[in-house]
Amino acid sequence: MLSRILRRLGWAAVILWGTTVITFLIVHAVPADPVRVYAGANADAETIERLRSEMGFDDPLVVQYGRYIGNLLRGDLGTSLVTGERVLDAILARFPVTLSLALTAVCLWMLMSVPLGVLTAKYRGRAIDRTVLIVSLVAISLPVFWLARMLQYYLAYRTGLFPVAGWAGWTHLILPAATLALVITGYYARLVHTNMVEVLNADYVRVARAKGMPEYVVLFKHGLRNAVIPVITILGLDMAALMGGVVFTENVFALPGLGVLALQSVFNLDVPMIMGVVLFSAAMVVCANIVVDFVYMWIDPRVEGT
Amino acid sequence: MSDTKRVRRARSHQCVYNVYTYPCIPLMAWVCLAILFLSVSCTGDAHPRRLHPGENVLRIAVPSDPRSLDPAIAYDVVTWPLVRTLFHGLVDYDDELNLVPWHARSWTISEDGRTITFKLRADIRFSNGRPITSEDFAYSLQRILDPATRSPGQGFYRNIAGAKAFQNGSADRVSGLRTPDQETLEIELDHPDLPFLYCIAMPFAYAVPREEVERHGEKFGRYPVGGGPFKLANWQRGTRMRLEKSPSYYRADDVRLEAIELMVGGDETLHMMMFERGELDIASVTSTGIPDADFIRVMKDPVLSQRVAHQPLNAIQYLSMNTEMPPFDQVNVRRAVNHAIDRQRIVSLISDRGILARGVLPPGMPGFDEQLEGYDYDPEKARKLLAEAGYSEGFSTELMVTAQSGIDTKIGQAVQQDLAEVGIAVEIRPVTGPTRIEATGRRGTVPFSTFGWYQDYPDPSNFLDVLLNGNRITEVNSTNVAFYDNDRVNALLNEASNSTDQARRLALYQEAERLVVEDAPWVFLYYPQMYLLRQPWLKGLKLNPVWPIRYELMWIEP
Repeated sequence: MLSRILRRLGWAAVILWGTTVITFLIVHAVPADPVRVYAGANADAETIERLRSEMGFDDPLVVQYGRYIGNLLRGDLGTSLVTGERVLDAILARFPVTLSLALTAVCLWMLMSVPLGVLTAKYRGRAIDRTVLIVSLVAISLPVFWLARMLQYYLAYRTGLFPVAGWAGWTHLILPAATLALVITGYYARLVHTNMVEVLNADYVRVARAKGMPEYVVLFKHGLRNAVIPVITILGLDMAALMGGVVFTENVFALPGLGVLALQSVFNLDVPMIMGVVLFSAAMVVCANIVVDFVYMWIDPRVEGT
Repeated sequence: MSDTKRVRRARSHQCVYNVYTYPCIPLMAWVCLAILFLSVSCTGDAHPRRLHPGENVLRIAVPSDPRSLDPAIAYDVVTWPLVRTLFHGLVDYDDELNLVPWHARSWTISEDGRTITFKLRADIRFSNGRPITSEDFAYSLQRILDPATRSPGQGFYRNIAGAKAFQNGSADRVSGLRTPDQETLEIELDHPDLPFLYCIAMPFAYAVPREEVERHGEKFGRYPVGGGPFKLANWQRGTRMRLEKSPSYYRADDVRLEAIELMVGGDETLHMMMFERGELDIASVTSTGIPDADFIRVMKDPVLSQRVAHQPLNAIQYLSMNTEMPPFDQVNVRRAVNHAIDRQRIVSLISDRGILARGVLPPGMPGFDEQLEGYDYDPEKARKLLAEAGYSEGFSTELMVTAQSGIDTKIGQAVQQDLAEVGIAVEIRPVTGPTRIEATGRRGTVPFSTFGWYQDYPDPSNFLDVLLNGNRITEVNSTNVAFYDNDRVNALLNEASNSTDQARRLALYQEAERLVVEDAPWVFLYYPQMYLLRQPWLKGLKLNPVWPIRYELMWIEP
């Protein structure tokens, strides 16, 4: 078990190191000059060259990368070229916003998709099943940024039910979280549905029914408990992906989260900030994978052998 | 998998319906959604209501955090008006663009034009309570030149005597900055330079307190302390910023706002929505002012259009042709392109928010030449000129535009259409802003690109000398992106730079501009105008070509 954990952690380190190499190369391959962006369009050539050497951009790439990794190992992600903020501080300041958005969205979609999945499995092939299926198909195919703008336009701008944008309290989370939830609910409803259908045909459910248990106990105690295990695995991975996947929603609703930070640093060609955000998101995904793996092993001991 | 399981799987798969089984149902679902949205939309109203009556607080929004509130670092049109509320400078502009005393009571220029002596007021303090002296201004100027400050404005002050030695590390102070007493500042220049006073009026040169800069180091831009009418109360990065009236400001009675609240984040469309809900007092404080998509609606709206203020900017939108790269190395080709493009149509594409350009200098600029004729729209003449240059069959080229800019895209498409008429095939190449700046400044790289230039200060040198002097051509990071090099023009520009007679300088610049227009290194498109949309309760919005936005003059009607 211990060797397995160590092996997983070793691979995680390799993956994160690979991420730094690839991000570093991509950021430096962009045919644009971070010094030029910093200095502004009106700066003269001499100013730019002075700034370049002051900022360390005239060193060979290998030296720059070595410096970056050296600092990284000491826990220093660098400082933003644009704002002078420490990258780690900037990420940690924005992470709670993204996390609360993601958690609210997850709660919303689980609250909607689990009952829908159970219902449609129970009434498989009936009108309710078909309606839910079709509505989820439509919802899944909606582009997030479009849906976000529509909700914002009608529910905030026209009617004033919610704040249009910004970050000043939990009411500001509802529309963005609803956007994410609406798109994903359909997918999870299908997931619960498929697992539920399988479980409802299992022998122990038939036994439960034969014993004359009330139907809700059969559905929720025996059925759902078993059907939801694979769903939770996928949820773990989706949560991690969501950390990086809220870019559109955050930008439309001007939430000060990681997504907005990522986009702005790309526009500003803020090299240390881009590297930091990418590395942080990668670390989130890697951690989630490890956690899910171990949770799975714990739930289902047969997995360890594979 | 066991057989029974396989059968169950198969059965469950049979029950998956898709769009193809019921093709009309998704359509119906869409129709239902549309009806739902329309019904909701009819119930609301979008007339701004006052959300915070009785509060004398200005509420605005900016798309992203100011990079820094340190005057040595900040260098954009959104941050400068904020820096101006926090700090205090030596000289300022009146509404006719004349320099007037501000922190300096008066100033004199020596006969040889190389020494400027400022006499300072003694009654102004930093918001930490310490009086501001001439040493603070000398320190602030030296700090811009210090390589460790990384100021993007250092180029404006390199003419101060001893600046170069200081930058190279061979001197530990700038010898041209002298403070005989606390109320006198002497600046000695390497060579006479009339526009240098304009550089002193730029926010870079505002006074910063040495003790606070040393206390916060690189974070001074996050914890700014200055002598302006406001001070920073709170800045939550990426979220909001609050500036509050500084009680120690020497003219505190004239400042009527209690605070300025900035929301950070969102684009201009979002800000427009917030404005219309009454959450903001100005729709947008970026140079666009009113979003493209809303402009016509706003101007046709009998209520909203009454709240629009507009100001021609000292700026120009142009297309740069690289005069070193064929076929643009031929003057007739460049003239042909100028004649082939219908600039009137381009201006109407941006809802007439521009004044047709006939030359380089905008109408608000000293030295603006009303006699210039420029190039009229004449495709016939364009074809003739192309034939004379040996391109009767036309040619193909690539136009680089900024991808995120809606205006650039519109210009690009109009240019593509117009030039196709005379046989020039243009391919539009959208790139990000930073890529465009990098590529166009590199010699022999980009033949044809859109460009915009906003003044640093109202002097013709800031356009003609910076953008068109052949001596400014460098291999990389050239600001002369047309790589235009005409000896006669260079000589005129250099003579004007060294002259201390303003009338003579303006005449020289006009002559140089006429030659530039004849040589046509650019397609002179239009001079942009700024439109600001405000709430009826916001007063004191005094637009000015140098300072379109001056928050310190505004107030909220009770």
